[in-house]
Amino acid sequence: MVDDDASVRRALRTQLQILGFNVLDFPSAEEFLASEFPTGDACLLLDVYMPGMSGIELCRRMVESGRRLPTILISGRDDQQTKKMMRDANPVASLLKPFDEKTLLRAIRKALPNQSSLLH
Amino acid sequence: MRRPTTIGTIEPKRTRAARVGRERRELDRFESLVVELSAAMARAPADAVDREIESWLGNICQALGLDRSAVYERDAPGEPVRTTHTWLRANSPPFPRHYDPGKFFPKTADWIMAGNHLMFSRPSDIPVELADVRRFVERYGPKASAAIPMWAGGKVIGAATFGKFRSPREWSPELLDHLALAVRLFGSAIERKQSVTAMRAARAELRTASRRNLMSELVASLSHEINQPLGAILSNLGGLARLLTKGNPQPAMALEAVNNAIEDTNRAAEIVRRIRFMFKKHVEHKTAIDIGALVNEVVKLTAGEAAVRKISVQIEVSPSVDRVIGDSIELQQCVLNLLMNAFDAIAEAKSDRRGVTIKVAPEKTGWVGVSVSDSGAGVDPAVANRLFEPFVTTKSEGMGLGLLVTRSIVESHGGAIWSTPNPDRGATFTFTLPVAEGKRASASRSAG
Ligand SMILES: Nc1ncnc2c1ncn2[C@@H]1O[C@H](COP(=O)(O)OP(=O)(O)OP(=O)(O)O)[C@@H](O)[C@H]1O
Ligand SMILES: [Mg+2]
Repeated sequence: MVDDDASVRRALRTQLQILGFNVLDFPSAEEFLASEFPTGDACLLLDVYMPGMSGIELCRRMVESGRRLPTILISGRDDQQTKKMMRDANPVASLLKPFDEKTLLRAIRKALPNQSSLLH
Repeated sequence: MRRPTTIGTIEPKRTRAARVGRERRELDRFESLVVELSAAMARAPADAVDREIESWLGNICQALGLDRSAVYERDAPGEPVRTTHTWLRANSPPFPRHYDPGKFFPKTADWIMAGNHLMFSRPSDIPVELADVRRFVERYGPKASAAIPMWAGGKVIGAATFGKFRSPREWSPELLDHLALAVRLFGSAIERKQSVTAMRAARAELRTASRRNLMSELVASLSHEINQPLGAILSNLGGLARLLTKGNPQPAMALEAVNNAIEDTNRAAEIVRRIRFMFKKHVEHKTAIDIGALVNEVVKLTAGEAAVRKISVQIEVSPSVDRVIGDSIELQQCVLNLLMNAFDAIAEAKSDRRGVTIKVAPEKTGWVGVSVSDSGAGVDPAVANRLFEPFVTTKSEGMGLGLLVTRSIVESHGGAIWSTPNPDRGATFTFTLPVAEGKRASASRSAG
């Protein structure tokens, strides 16, 4: 998970752990890129608006470098321009904050089809 | 110009000489009245043009012993002719106050609007071709009248009429020349008023447009700012619910989720509280303001803060600044926001030069500039071109709203705000305000 907002990170981490996931979280796109790229059955929860590199930019970089990770974009803004930007980045799913557990799980199920038996 | 024909009995020589003498004196008096009128029209600010014209219609009637005069305007050929200014002597016979001459006597109205003069010394003088106005005159009763087209900018934009109800009167060619000059002065004043009004409307429109942008920008950012803690709350409570349905196997984690949610809720409330404070509802009340005194006031209010932070604040007010038009509470907030930012910038720089200078000086004609310079580290290049956007901040305790609010206030006053780096160190933020209306007119006159 990449989000610059500490309380959002903390909350999502808690929630995902309770749901039984292993969670790695990063406060910026730069730090995520500098870390070891996750292997195995993984997906990326990615905030759109962050100081420095944005979530959209990170998507583009990953596509360019051929590294693939099913990505769920999340954003606190829902204006037309943001929605269009999110669509153009072509993620597995887009979530607008605040979202509930059901919505989050539906997105993760799309991102991790092999794990779907885990989640109800 | 159509000259009136004089019909009537031949006057005895002595009476005639007396009348000519009287007319001569009346003409001289009227000539100096028109000179005065010309000065008054030039002096009148756009807002006062209508009032001035009505009072001068009265002055003209009094000077010439007339009973009614009126100014008519037409926006474009084919449009109705509107009565826009009138003066009527008390106790005059009833006369329609506002009427469209084009309805009552279309032919004559068109004829005058085509640039022709019409005057008659008695109703029987009215030429037969203009039968429509003759009927009107017989019905409403002016015994003598002069109708003069009103020119402005090479076009006829209306007309003026001068009438006498009680008795016939003669219109000498010299008198008509003076009247035509007075009407031309009315015309150019009206034209000036219209262009000022049009310019104001255009400016107001521009301002609402930029404010509308600002608002939608603000709403988008605001929802983002609030959605962050709301999202966190929902995640924490979602996790908690999940734990509870499983019989709460990890009570420590449940407690953490609850504590997180409480903290996030407080954060959301704090954001709302600070935004409310920033945009505290306040009924705008604009008056003429001594901006130098206002700056002094704000600096006094913040003296305690400055002392704690060991910052000295210098004020330089140029003696030639006029009063500005503004809302004093809003303008205090602007100065305060800039001053607080300057204090923060100096604290950030940890420099030993700890000074802020506030200057109040005339900007271009009609405007006053207020600038706040600090000896801080200057604007961080990472935010330099987004300073005035909502929630852009480099401070851990900042909301990033101070400059946004300041900009929206300054723009609602018609001014502008910008920042420039100082040649040595630090930054200067400057905003402009319009000088109070009357002063502005006199300033531009003495300049031109
Ligand atoms: N005098 C200054 N010198 C350097 N940077 C400045 C100065 N004034 C403003 N800035 C920069 O512009 C940013 C936005 O300023 P703004 O006043 O809008 O918000 P803020 O001061 O961060 O928070 P607040 O909402 O409390 O005012 C600041 O965070 C700072 O980075
Ligand atoms: Mg500020």
